[in-house]
Amino acid sequence: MALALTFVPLGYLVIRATERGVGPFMDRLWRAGTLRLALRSLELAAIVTALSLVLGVGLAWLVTRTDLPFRRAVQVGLGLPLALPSYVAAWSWIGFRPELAGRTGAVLVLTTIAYPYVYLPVLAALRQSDPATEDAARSLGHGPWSVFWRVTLPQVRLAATGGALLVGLYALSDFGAVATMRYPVLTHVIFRSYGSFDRTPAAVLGCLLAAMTFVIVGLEGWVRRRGGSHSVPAARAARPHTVVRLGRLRWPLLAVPAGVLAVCLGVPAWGMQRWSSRGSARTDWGELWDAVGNTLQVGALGALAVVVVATPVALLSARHPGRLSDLAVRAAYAGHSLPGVVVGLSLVFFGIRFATPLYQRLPLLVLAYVVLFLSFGIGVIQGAVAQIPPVLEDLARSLGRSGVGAWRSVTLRLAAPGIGAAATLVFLTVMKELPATLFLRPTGFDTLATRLWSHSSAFTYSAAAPYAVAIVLLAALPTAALATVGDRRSVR
Amino acid sequence: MSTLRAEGLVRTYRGREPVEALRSVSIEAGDGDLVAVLGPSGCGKTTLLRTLAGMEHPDAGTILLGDRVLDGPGAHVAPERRAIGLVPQEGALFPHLDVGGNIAFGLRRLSRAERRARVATMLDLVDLPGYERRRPHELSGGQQQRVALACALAPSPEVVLLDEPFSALDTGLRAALRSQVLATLKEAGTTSLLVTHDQTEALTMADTVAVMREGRIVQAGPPHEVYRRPADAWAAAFLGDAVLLPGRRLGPSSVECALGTLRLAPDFAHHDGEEVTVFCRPEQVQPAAAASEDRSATVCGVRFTGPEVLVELDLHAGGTRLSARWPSTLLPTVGDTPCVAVTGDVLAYPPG
Repeated sequence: MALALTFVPLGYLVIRATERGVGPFMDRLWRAGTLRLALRSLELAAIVTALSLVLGVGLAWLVTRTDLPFRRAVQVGLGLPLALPSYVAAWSWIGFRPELAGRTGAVLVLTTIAYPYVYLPVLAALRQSDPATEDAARSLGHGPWSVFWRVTLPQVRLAATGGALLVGLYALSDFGAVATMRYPVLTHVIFRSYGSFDRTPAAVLGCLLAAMTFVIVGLEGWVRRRGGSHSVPAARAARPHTVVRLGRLRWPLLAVPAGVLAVCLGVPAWGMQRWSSRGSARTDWGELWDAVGNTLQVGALGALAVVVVATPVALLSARHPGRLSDLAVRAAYAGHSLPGVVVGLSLVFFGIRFATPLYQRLPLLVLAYVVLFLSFGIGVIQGAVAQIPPVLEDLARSLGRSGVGAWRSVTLRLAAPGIGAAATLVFLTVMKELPATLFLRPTGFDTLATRLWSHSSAFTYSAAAPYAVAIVLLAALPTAALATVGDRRSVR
Repeated sequence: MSTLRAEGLVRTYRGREPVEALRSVSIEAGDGDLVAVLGPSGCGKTTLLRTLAGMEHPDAGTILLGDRVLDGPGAHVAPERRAIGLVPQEGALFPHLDVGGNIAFGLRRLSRAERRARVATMLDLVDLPGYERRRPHELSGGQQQRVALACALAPSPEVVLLDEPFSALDTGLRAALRSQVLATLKEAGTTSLLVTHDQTEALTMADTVAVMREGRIVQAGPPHEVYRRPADAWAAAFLGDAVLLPGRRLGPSSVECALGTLRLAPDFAHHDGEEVTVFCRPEQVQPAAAASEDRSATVCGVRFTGPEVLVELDLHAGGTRLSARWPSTLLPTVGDTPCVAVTGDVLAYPPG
């Protein structure tokens, strides 16, 4: 099922790319320009991933393992940039410093909104790891710095690599930021070629992009296997972690997260404020409320569908790892890496050809969300299931539960916070999603993102501002909820 | 009748290098008995436990509970239908349920009032009355273990399986908990099977000890039997400190070695050749008044353990070194030259 979902768009892509024969396909692929494009995409993804790793891991450590002032507020605040759609952030930066357009701007915007993909899972892993190992290392003569490198970091490696993968794929497949920053990478060029009469080059480049993501996903799997799982979840009583005293640096160091927040949230806020104050257009409240309602509706439907598909796949791959579950997970990641444009258009094609009754109706749109965001669901739920000792399932069975019953009464119950987090993440992302929604929404059906797009394409920034504000406010709540997942003090 | 009987169990894990976890294991736990499966880690004892519980399917062999076939050719009863309880390693509990919820987990058929009464009874049984509302993480290791036992016993299973239940606890607590768990199991009258790598645990708790090695049961019998008359030199050394000396068979019931001429235990399949390895326990080597048959030795090491001393001896004849266990009232000092003699019978194994 999960496999089929991803292979429909992938298959379409390959068919479109090769319908003129393999010769032209190879010609197009081996052009110097194509190679340059691919390298530029990879470079962008690599820089953004590296910066996000440093930022995400460093900040997560700072807010969980030190006596930084206002830790709890900072913990939540640092996850909030996730709520920003890339196009909103990019427009704000262009308005703030127009000279940033190009690579610098793309890196800046993508890093400031994508680092939470590393920060949030690492934060959760740091909260869940067994404090005893760090205490033992301190008693064995390692200072805080050495403990961080030799004990803490290996324990969050899995979470960090998973997060880095998401960042890399995000940077590779993002369209909004690179388009606004006028930085021609693969997605941007694909989108432009789709508009032209001959769509074959776009399909070829789409194949190339998909192949690149397969390589990246494979690379991540290799890193993961080579390192093994180092995470030691605390099975027993939850003791608080020993905190590193920052001493005189305590207050000065607060400037680090504060600075990050100022850059990541302050500039977009300033941008939105500027638009709304400058404009003369009046807000159509009815239209705004409609869009809010529609956004919540597609968000909820998308989240529900993803969780329903992702939960069995995640359970299977965490408990009975095998070729099939492996393939399903890979396929999900490949689906996520496909640009929304490609998924959107391929489902349009699919809908017209095979599922006419569904074309331009909500089910097809929800299907697109499942293809795009299944990996979020699987990744998060897998992590949650991996923390549950399998012996509990045996125990439930010895106490009279059937195999399915044991999963329902124990595994699902214990994984519920993780499933909730996955649903929240998907909800959030669906609300921000633009290209696939543009292609597949029912006629006359507008979400906040599509309204925002149509207003800003027409350069009526002041009319767009309320939608930008609404989308950020709507997204902020689930994001704040995500930042508290696994926080022991909030558990009971 | 809750006799658990397994015959010829075979389980091989397929893979690039197949692992033969069970190679024809037969074991029997009589009604109300406690059987300890004792073996080093990796000997297949956890696989045996999981197979008996129904989590693993055996490749061959049968498992019977009374006259009910649990596993056999073409038959496999699901774990939840076996009436076999499980106490997992380190007393794992469901972290999302409180103590009461954990114990009631296997009691779905009962009404709410019956369930509450049963939970209270079980908590009394494990000596934790009033703990219903506690969360697992608020309990100490020993308390978690007792709650885990209560969970397993609550649905009145015919058999309880315990998987290294005390390995994570400290020594003092372990001894106390052992006798408490034993008393609870006897009070409940449940047939139990305990898997462990701890010799003391197996010998002190079990009615029958089954020694397991490389997927086979090497020997099974009452604790004193397997301790005093181990089937081979490996089992002898695994079950406790062993004195193993080269010797020569003199006749059907006597053997000669550095400790003199010794009597062989009756009713034991001693090695038949002339060259043998003579086995006795260190506590059989005791100080004696000087006599012609006795052997003098030099004390070259003393380890005081409280009630006893472990003495390293250098036998003057043949320069053989061995250890002895004496009451600590006889505390020697290094350099003493006592005479020693063997009390009781010895065994003869193949040389090597």
